[in-house]
Amino acid sequence: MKVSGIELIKIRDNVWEIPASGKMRVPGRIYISQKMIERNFQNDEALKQVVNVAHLPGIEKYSLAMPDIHWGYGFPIGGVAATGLQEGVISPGGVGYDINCGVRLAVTNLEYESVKNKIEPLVARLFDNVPTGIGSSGAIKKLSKKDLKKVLESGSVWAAEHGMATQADIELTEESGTLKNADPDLVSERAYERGADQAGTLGSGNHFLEVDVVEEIYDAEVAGVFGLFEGQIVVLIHTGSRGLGYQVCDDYLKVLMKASDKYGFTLPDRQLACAPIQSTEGRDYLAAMQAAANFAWNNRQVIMHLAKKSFSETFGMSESELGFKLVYDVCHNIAKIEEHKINGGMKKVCVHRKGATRAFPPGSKLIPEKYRGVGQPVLIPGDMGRYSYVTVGTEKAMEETFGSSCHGAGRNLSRKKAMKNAKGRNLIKELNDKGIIIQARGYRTIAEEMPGAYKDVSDVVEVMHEEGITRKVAKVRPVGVIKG
Amino acid sequence: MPGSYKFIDHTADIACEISGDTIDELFTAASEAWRSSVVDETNYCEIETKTIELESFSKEQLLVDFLNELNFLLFTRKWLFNLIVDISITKKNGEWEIKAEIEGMPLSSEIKLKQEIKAITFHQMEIEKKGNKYSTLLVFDI
Repeated sequence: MKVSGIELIKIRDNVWEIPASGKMRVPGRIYISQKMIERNFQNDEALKQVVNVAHLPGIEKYSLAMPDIHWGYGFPIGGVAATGLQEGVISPGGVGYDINCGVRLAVTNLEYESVKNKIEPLVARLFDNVPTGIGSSGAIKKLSKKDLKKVLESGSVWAAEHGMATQADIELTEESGTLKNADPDLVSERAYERGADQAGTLGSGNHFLEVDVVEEIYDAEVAGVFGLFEGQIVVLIHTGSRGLGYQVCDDYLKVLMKASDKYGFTLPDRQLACAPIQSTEGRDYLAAMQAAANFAWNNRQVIMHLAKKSFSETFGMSESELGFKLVYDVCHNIAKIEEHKINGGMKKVCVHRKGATRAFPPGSKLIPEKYRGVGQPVLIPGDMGRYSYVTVGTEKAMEETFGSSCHGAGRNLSRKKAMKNAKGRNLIKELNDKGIIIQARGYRTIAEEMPGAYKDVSDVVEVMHEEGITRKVAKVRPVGVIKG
Repeated sequence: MPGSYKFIDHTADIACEISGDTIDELFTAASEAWRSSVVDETNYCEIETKTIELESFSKEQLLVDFLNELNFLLFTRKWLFNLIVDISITKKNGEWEIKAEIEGMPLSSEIKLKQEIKAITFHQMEIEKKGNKYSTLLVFDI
């Protein structure tokens, strides 16, 4: 069938291919149901962006898109592309401005039924302790250049050295919270200035901190390994590298824009500016991007520390009494050097995940020992009025999607339409009536981020589950939310 | 005719069509689109002026740099751009240059920001002259 002028061929129920044509180097492959195709691609450039990504030099197998695909810039959101380490390129358009935007999930041993009367003071305490909102700052003292440089070098390890992370927290973070080849000297002064007072801040837009209750368990064995049980209070944190990451992306787009010309690449969208991974420009971007990724891991770690403190203050319990523990932290905006099976052999590639989550299988040496028997936790947040999912990576993801899965619900309405929809409604009360306590800096954010503004994340998760890319483990529903 | 801007529907970010009779007008209209995306009309107080001088290898890069400068001044230096007093964009030895005198004010608690723009993207950006008008699409990442 043709959608937005682009031909889609059905491969399986939830897998569609865009045949390679023109200067596309590989075909496009989209994991999506027919129902979602009909609903999602009206006036949307996302499919064209899958086509555009297929033009990148050195791209392997397919330009991929996950079921939460929507219109981004450069890559579509939900886009995945692997480029050969030796002959391929790296593109900031495949990572995005919010480098290492990601999600972390922590569990407690509190049960919702026994603490439900305290959710309101808990949310108030979280809102006091975790800076949220536009340009939020000051969670911890403003970092000196020397300290910030250490954060960029060591990620979450910096938090551990400053009493804000345990050894287990480090082990249960993707890459142990540190990309080792990060080079803080390749990060501009301006990026340092933007990041100096933003460690431990949530920011605005779709970023959030949620208190959730585990509503349903789909896989008891895996849930047990992840430490999840029905009725349990858990915490979900979604944010990234804040202004520092945006600046790094911005700085290097300029560098790679020039490099694209220098290396003679003709690209269908300027935002796909790129350089050979092995060139100075490509290597510099990779090392600066890794530094920003480290900033993001530290950011989420510090926020979790502040959340833990808020729980302790509200419930008058120590950390161990609360059983407050990190399950896992995953990034969904990143480019990583990984080894994957291509044409029967193993090959080193740069996997760009732009709004896509790594989903490694049982047995992978790159996931924490604790999870090697079952696979990597893959965290898929939904919207603040419905639910989010905990899923797990599989071998099929390695075979088909370079070990990647979806990352969220994806917007359904533009912010403008959401505002229109919210007119005359009391969204705070509507959420309260559903048992969700919310605090935000401004009502505008609540309106723009209202549940109806997002697609139903269960549709997205179901496609990945049915295709065996990630399997459902548990569903959690929000009872307390703080936003920017 | 001064330049103009018109927001178009975009699901995840902000997109707007910008046009102007001259490049200077196009840049001015783009700065107005940026401002109306981050703040509603405000009372002007404590007016200050600044001069921005930048150079880039393309006019598209120059526009992104200029708007990112306004973004940086707002979200990091806490200084809100109000308007362009004087602007001149020239091409010298293959490099595009902007010299702009702008007015603005320090951010105060009375100014309510609408949203944070992470950055100005290059997505689908192409400054073209069609007939007598320069135009481009601009997408802000929010």
